[in-house]
Amino acid sequence: MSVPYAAARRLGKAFYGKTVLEDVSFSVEPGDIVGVLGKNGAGKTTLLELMLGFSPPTAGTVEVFGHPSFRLPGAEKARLGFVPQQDELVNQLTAADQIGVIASFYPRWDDELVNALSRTWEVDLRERIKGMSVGQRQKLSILLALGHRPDLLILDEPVASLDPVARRQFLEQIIDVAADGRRAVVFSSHIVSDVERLANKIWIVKDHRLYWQGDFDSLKDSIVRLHIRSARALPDALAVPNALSSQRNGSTATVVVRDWSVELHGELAARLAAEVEVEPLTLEDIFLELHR
Amino acid sequence: MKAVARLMLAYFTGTRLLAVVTAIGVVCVAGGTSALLYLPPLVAQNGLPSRFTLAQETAITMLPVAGMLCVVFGASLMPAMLTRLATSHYTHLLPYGRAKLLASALCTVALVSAVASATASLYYLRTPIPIGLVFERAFTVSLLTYTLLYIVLWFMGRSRSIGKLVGLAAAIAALALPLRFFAVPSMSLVGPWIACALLWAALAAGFLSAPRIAPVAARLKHSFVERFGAASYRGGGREIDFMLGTANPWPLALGQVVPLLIAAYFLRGYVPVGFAPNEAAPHPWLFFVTILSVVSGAMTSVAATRSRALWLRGHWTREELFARVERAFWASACFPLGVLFVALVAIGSYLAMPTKALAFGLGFVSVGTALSTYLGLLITAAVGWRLAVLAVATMLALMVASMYVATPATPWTTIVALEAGLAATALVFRQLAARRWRHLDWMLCRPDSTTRAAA
Repeated sequence: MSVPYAAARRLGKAFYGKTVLEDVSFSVEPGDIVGVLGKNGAGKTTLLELMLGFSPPTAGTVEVFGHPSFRLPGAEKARLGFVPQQDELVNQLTAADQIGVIASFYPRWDDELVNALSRTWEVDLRERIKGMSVGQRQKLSILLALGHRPDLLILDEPVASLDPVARRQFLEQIIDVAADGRRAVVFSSHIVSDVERLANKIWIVKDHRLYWQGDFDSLKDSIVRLHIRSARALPDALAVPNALSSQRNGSTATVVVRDWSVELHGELAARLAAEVEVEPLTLEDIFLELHR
Repeated sequence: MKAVARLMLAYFTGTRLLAVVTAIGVVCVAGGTSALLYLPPLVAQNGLPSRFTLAQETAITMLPVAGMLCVVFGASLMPAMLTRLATSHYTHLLPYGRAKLLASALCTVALVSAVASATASLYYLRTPIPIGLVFERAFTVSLLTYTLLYIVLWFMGRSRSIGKLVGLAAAIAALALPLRFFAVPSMSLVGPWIACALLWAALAAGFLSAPRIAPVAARLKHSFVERFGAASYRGGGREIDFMLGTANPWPLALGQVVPLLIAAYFLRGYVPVGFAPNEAAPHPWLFFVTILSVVSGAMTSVAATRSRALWLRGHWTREELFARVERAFWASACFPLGVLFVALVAIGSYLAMPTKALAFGLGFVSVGTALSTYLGLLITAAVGWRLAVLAVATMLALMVASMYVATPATPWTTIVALEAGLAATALVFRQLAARRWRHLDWMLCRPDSTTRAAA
């Protein structure tokens, strides 16, 4: 069996006694496109930075390409790409010089890909970085992360500064990156529609834990909104198992539940003597319901 | 190796200005070297018959030195670029990134030192002194000096005042060490080599083990803060001071004591080159105090950027804003200036500085602060080449003038004229700054521009 690109077991991180992440376990396999969702301060960036080995975990382990991420050998780093939230470019250089400097660190660098993408994304390589707009700088950061064709690409809110056209182009590029099934992408974003469109796996970080992980279809099947209609008044306490939120209005009620199943549907309809209609939720609705 | 070479290329040619300066430097060094090697001996200054005029001989002689200075300046992007890359995620992510960055810095300093030493050795080609010996001596001193010089540039690029003070301490050492070395030509090379090795070993250890040291240091800091409490704010409490960063001048004022003591240590028993022990030579103490006087004033370089918030909150016109900012910085600069006055007189007396120089030195140090204060206030946009040239020229004038003021033979009328001239220049700068502030455009002086200027 092949080694997963990244794997964590009971991973935790605390700063000065304050827990930022706890009990996180996951695995990233080739071909995975993982979208990481979570509110501000939930621990998304910490999770990604632990994967990248920027800081040692305070509990559990996280391995990248079979090595502890904090002690990742130099040669393995060539298989890793990263786009940070805020670019870290050298203002004084031109885009071409910045690319030249970063490219020189890698044994393989795909000039053709970088040139093609810079043309598509309208990044002028002759321009000095200090004169570039925030969006242009972000595009350049992404180019720098893609140039060596990394096996594992990690992106921390990469599209926040991009216009809709550039965002769409970027998403298409990410799909291309992962299309051959040999690469994996992990990206965090607040734009839920992007995650919905792109990811084949979703991680939801909530209260410093990996609250949910799996593919989008399982998530949609698991978290649903129930519309309950009865001929008589419903009881005050509906006692719906795994309810995330509920709203009752006489003989009707709306309940959002997680871990939904057909068996629960039958049991609930019988117990309340009511008609139960199941409404699938969009990812955005699910995210909002989870953080209500 | 490829990455190290590419980084070095970027250090020397990263910006258009540096690329031009480096190219000029290389041409001058190569041309000057060829001229000195292959043209007939330059002997006019000794009164011997020469095929060149004195002016031509001087130009040929100075060509390699000018080239060498250009090469040194050409690599001045290194500290800023190294800082940017070293403090970014790139050091973690790039394969062997940390080691390659460090190697590029060492190679750059070694290259610059080699150019400087080769240039210095040129002048001994037609003397009986073995050329290898001259090169070795020059290389050792250059390596140490340029290491310190680039450390200075690196620390000066840091935004925190403690970084500026460490930079100053290194600047003082960089300036004082060669003075001492050349003042005592018989001094052994072992000391500078050990100093170089220790400096680079410390840099390498700190740089390479930073990922492991950082969490430990953060933990220690946290436990220290938990035990003794966080550093509390002790400023005056005025909003303008909070925003400009002038509320607490004491760290800078007292922090100056460290570089002052370093300089005083190196200058004990110093005799300038070419002067007999009892001959009236310029006393270097005023020179070092002048360097420090410039720092407290130079803090105004961030004033324009920081004043944006005041514009929104203070309901002042741009003219009123300038007046208030100027007042706030002067009120803050009085503290470090007071410490410098005490140090100038106390340590100057200990170092046997002439009384006349001490007395005029007080005025001179004040003028130094005034000049740098208004130069800083002139920065209302990214620093262009005009302002850069003006700043360098002013600082050079200040340094040279400090040596004149500290020379016992200089008549007091000349000193008064010098100080009056510099004070008038400060007033001109003030007028220019006031005019710039009347049209202050905060879109041109965003925080990132200031960072670039500092770098």
